Amino acid sequence: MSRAQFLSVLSFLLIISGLAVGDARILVMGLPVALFLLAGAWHAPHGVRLVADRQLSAERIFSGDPVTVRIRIRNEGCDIKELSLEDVLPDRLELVEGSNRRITQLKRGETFEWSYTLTGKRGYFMLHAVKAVAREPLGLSVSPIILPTDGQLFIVPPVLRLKRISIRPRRTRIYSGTIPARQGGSGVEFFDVREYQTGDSPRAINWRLSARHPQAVYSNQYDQERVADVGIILDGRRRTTEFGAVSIFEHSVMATAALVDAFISAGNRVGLLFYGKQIHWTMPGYGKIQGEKILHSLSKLEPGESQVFNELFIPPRLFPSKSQLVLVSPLTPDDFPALSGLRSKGYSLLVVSPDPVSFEASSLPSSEAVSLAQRIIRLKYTLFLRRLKGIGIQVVRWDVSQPFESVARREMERSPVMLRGVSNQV
Amino acid sequence: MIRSIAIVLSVLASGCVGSACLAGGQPWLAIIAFAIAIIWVFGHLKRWGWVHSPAVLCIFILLSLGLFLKLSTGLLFTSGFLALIGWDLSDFSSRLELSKGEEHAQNLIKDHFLHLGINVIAGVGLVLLALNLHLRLTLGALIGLSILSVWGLGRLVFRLLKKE
Repeated sequence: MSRAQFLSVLSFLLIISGLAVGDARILVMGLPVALFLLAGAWHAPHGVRLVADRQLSAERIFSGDPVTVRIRIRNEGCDIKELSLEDVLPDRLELVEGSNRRITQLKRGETFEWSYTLTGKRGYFMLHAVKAVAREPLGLSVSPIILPTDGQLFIVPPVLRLKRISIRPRRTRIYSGTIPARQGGSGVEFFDVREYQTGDSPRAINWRLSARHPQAVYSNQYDQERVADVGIILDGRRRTTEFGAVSIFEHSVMATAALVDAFISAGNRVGLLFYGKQIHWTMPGYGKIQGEKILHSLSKLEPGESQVFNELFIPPRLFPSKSQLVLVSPLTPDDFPALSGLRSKGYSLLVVSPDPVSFEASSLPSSEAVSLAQRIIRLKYTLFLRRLKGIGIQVVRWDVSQPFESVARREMERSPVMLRGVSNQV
Repeated sequence: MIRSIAIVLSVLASGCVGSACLAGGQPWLAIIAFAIAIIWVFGHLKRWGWVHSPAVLCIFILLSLGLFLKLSTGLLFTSGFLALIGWDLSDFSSRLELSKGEEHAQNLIKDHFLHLGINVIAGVGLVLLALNLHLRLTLGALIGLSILSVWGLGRLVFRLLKKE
């Protein structure tokens, strides 16, 4: 009940009870209450016109970084004796310094400005309203207004810098990069020898082989290094990412951001497919702008219920067969047909699996039953990963209690030929 | 500071009603007033914004009962005014917490006290005038005046609530 409503009820009660019992003094007691109401109506602000303007120190920040919000309110209407202001913030943003609420006086033509600092977790936030309440000095007449403002804030996941991710898709693009193209030419890694041809560098001559076969001169060929198409698939299905009140999804997002950065830095053509509540594509592209596009997409993604993974479809126009796919998913055994289907279409597949077993176990109380259940599920999970390894999928199991950089350094910087499937932890 | 004033006024308002009841030989009403005072002060300390209005309502109910029982008019009216001021200041102090000690706060406090003071003085004057002015009115005129006051008050309330 507002203040004016309360005083109205009180004054009516006094009048009615005074009339009912026929006591003039009770009626008289209603007079000061009615006077309060009269004063409220008398000084009520009329023609309130406010204009709000919002400035953010940055529209894109990393998760946990602070951003300063500066709000300016200009009064283009009548004098306001008491003005309460509140910058409406989404739930997932937190105040670091200052306050998003203020109370002030604002005369016609005056401007009031204040700033505060906030931070938040990954997400895309629209900041488009300042709630203003104009009151007269006794606070009885209230005029609430919503002031529209511009403002959006991308809080992108932290990007871990990975030195190199060793992938070896069977199909590469024509531009030079860091991925062995299985074609002889100039490069670093030895590929083949061939008979010397005019134009070959004398430094490329394989003197040892030429000495063994004096009828010809042979020159070394090196594996050409090219860029590749890399499609990253982020699994946001609730049934694989959420375990009661805890979710592993943020870890998956962080790993995806690190992988995107590493592949983009190596000059590859990278696209992102999010598989959660709905399928969301970030079209493949090159360069820093593409990296930024993918980070923006990552900031908006939320896990959700979805149909089974079997319906996963990779448009060949975007990622032709034999290109590289990277799946970031805690995985379930039901995913095997979909993954083997991708493999049979010729895609090179790298699976980064944030370990759901140890993650869920860390949130459960330790008991014998939990320990036994964990062992059983761990066995099933390990067997599933070995099945994936058996069909030629490179699998990286990531225990999320370990830093992703160290796991990536250990498991992904080496050549996939050396890895041949699941890591030695499995 | 303002919160402290509001607490003192709350205690005084309950105290005045309680004293009037005790002086008039109504110890049970005095105990109720004492209980209201405790709850109201506790509400202030716990910053329960919802407690102020019910407390004022209870004080006014006690006050009306006291007037009906012909207890001390002066104490009861004083209690009513103190309760109203205490109620107003407790809400104002919670609103003022948003100002974060800025210079605007001083102007806000000054303006608020000015308007509150004018209202209280006008209210006291009106009450004194009403209590001392004895007009002889016919029943028809009385009914007419009552209807007019209710209509006027209704319009006032409608105007105030329309903006919310």
